[in-house]
Amino acid sequence: MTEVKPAKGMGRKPAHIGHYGTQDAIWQTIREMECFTIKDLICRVDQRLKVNDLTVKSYVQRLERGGYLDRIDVGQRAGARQEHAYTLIRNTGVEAPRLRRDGTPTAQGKGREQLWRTIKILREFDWRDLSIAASTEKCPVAEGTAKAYCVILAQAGYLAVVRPSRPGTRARYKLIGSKNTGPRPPQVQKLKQLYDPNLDKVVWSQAERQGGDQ
Amino acid sequence: MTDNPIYNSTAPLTNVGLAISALERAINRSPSLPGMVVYYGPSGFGKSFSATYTANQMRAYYIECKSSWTKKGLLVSILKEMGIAPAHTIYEMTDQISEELVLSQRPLIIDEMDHIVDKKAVEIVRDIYEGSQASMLLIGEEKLPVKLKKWERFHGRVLDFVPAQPASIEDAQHLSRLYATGIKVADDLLAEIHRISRGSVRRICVNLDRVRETACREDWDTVTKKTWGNRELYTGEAPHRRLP
Repeated sequence: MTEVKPAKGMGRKPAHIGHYGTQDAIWQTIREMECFTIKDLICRVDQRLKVNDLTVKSYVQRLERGGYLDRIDVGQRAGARQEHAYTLIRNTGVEAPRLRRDGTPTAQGKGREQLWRTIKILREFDWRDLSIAASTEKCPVAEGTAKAYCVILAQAGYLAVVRPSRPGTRARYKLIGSKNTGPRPPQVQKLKQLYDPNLDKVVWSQAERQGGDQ
Repeated sequence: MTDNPIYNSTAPLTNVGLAISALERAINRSPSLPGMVVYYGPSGFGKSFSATYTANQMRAYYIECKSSWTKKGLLVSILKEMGIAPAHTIYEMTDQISEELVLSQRPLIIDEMDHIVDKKAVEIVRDIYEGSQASMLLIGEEKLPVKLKKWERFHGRVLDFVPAQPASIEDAQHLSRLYATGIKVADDLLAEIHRISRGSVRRICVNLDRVRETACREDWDTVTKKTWGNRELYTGEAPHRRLP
């Protein structure tokens, strides 16, 4: 894990040092501690991963608003700010809840999650099969999205091309057994690279291939 | 019509509906009732479409059994799907899985159950159920309910046995909307495809794709039985050799 903290306003952070990993680290720490103050939590999270204090505070606030944490005021020392203690009241398992600022669950990343789950279930498919099977009423997956995901997963060596595309026939792909890395979908990042959150690793990048240094 | 998400998903297919409502019944059951549902049928009936849609809709954990699996193989695979590092003993792993199912309240789908039903691994499924009371969808071939009968204590935890149904003509119509894009497959040809595919969703898909490919090549907009002529359709049977 890189310990880079990009400065504010420097554009969107790549997913592997941004939201995804940090919220997981905070959530796992909360599950271990169950009862904590922000200060304790920041200390403990820090042993796991470098996380901005404000990120911890903001995620705790989302969890509280979403009904995952209960807050009580604890003794105030003279001159100090009011401290709060939090208790975990809704433990939903290893997966960190993805919440909006107001504590309601976000649907962000749902399509990608469905694509990845469908790839693992179907094992062999073309992009049309994939888009049809991955779509639900609540969250349809566009053919273009399915196609682009197949292409980059194939480039990264996650999918083998069973039958290349010909005019009138779509390419057929197969998931490579060892690349069923876990529940979380590999993410396509800006700068044309693929990050696998299950392995916490950038598994493919176009720049690397062009540079030819690996 | 194509903008309507219902038409671009597998939701309207008979078997998808059966699978999802079976699992919903298990999820909404009263606490005194068991929570495992067995969904079975011959291969090609669209069970994997059903499993995929159900898994996506319910955010279920999905695993597909392999014939080589022992108890441990089954446990490690479920834990991997949950994103949890497996503990060392079978006992601990069973606990890990049960705990996660209780906490997350997400259902578990186990496909290709046939592979483990003759082995002791099937008892692990029961242990996980006992430890979590989680709703589970167990999918397998036509003989799965009969095979499960041997495991008496397992059988009693099944809420419902749901057989997958052969594809209906409405299913064929929906599949034609999904797979024969850009062309119109006339009713008479579709009926012929439905007949020749003998209830198999997979064969209908293969045939529709064949029709679409040929239509593209021949520049047809509508394909009737007459346009199709005596071109071959996929029956799933080994080809006959024509000897003089």
